[in-house]
Amino acid sequence: MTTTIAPAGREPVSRSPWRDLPAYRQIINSRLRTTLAYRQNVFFLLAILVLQIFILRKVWTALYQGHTTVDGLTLHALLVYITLANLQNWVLQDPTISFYMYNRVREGQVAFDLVRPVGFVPQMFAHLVGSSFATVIFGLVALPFIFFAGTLGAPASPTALLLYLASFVLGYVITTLLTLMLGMFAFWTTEISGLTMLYRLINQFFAGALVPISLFPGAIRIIADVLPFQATTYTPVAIYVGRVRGADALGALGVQAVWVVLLILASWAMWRRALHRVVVQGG
Amino acid sequence: MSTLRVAWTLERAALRGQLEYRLNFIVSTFMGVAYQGSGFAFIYVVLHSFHTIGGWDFNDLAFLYSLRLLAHACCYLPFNQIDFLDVTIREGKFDRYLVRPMNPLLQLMTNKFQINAVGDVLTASALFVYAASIAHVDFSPLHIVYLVLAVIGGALAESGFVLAVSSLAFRFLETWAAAFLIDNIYLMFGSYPMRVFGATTAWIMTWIIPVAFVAYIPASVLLNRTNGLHIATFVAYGAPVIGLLWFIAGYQVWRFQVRHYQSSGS
Repeated sequence: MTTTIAPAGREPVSRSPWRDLPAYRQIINSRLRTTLAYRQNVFFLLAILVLQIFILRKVWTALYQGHTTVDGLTLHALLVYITLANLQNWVLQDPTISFYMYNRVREGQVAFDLVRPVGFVPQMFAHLVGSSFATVIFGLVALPFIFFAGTLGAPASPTALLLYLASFVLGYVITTLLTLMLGMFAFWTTEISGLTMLYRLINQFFAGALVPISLFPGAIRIIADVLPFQATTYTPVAIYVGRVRGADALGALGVQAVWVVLLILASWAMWRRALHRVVVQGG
Repeated sequence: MSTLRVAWTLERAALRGQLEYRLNFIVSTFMGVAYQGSGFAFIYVVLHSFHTIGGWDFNDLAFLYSLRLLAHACCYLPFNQIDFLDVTIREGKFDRYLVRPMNPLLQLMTNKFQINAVGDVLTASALFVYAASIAHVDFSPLHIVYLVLAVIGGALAESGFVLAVSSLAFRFLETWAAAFLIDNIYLMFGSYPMRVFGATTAWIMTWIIPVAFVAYIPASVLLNRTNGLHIATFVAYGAPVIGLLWFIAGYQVWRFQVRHYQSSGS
């Protein structure tokens, strides 16, 4: 089974990547519409985001009582950090493809995905892009509420904004690769709901969405530094509020780039192994 | 009494069923620990650089957090299957509960054993033992009785509210996200001194959604902090009763909504 499917999944002859574009557009489009159709639940999830930002603002304001700056951040800068970090983390933490892979593998439909003329991994990226479009639309709807619940503010400087955008793109790529790898676990365990939830929690904490990584004490700081999560949220947002700037900011972008390379290699290796594990249920 | 024996047998069978999936058992237990522990990790980390939140130091906050976890575990262990009420209704499986000679709610509760509840209980117990040893709580016999009643009352206050919200599934068919929101409200607002959020939010979290009665008010009583409370002291001592009233109200909502059940027709 595996040997017949695997070669078909990869590009058989050299062909222009542009030829597949309509196929990707179709996937993106249908994923966007699916996500928008199930919007009822998204509003509750957005309410959680807005409440979380509200609570963090109140708690951090209480913490700052009697302090003007902590770790180089004024209360205002910290609140902008918290608001943006949570918003961004919400946009990035999109479980769509890992859930999709899980369902496809569990129900055996992954076999059809693998024999399609477009590669499986690019298909997953197309799903994610479609879902991201929907997330941006929902995010825009939530923005007025977030403005009310949290603190939105301008970037520290025009340079900070440019560096932030570059860092955000790298963060997006890193998150995508991590979700892809998470979804690939479905090829081994067929039950990843617990794992997905665990990932969401660990990610949120070690990405620095609740507390900037620079305020982590001792050993937890070291753990946070060696994990890839800080490169998804902390790095871009800390650049935005001016906590990380100049040479440090460029160094942080370098760390992100290293993570991109490492995770591409890791996910590629994992994918090669996953393909050999394809066991179609009942097929 | 025989109803309870049947329910207990069903619950044990449900647990045995889940123990079959060993890897998922471990991952799910760990997830329960991580889910309930992540809020505490936040408190631990921020109190490293700052020393108090709203006048409460680390010891007090740890005690408050552990009390909330204990109440939550007492609520979640029996009532976790309420989260799946909407799926049960959509798939027409609620029909079965109605034709069997046992309370439908008890049947739903014993349908499956939710593994992460084990993680909740473990985290709650461990944290409570730790917090009780560092916080300045006067464990007089009266306080111990109040503590036990308050934990039960807190669990009832949470279960009653969750029951009322979840039973909307009989009308709206998909309510998991609403239930998830409620769970998050208890988790987030229940873990800090109410005064941090301002008077309006504190009032809502006391009288509209009974969050403050789960842990903040009992913890204030046990830590001798009642003079900082936003409610009268005698009401604070009556927290367990208010929890019981919420549960009765929640169960009445459930009974009212059950009548609106329409089978999925498949």
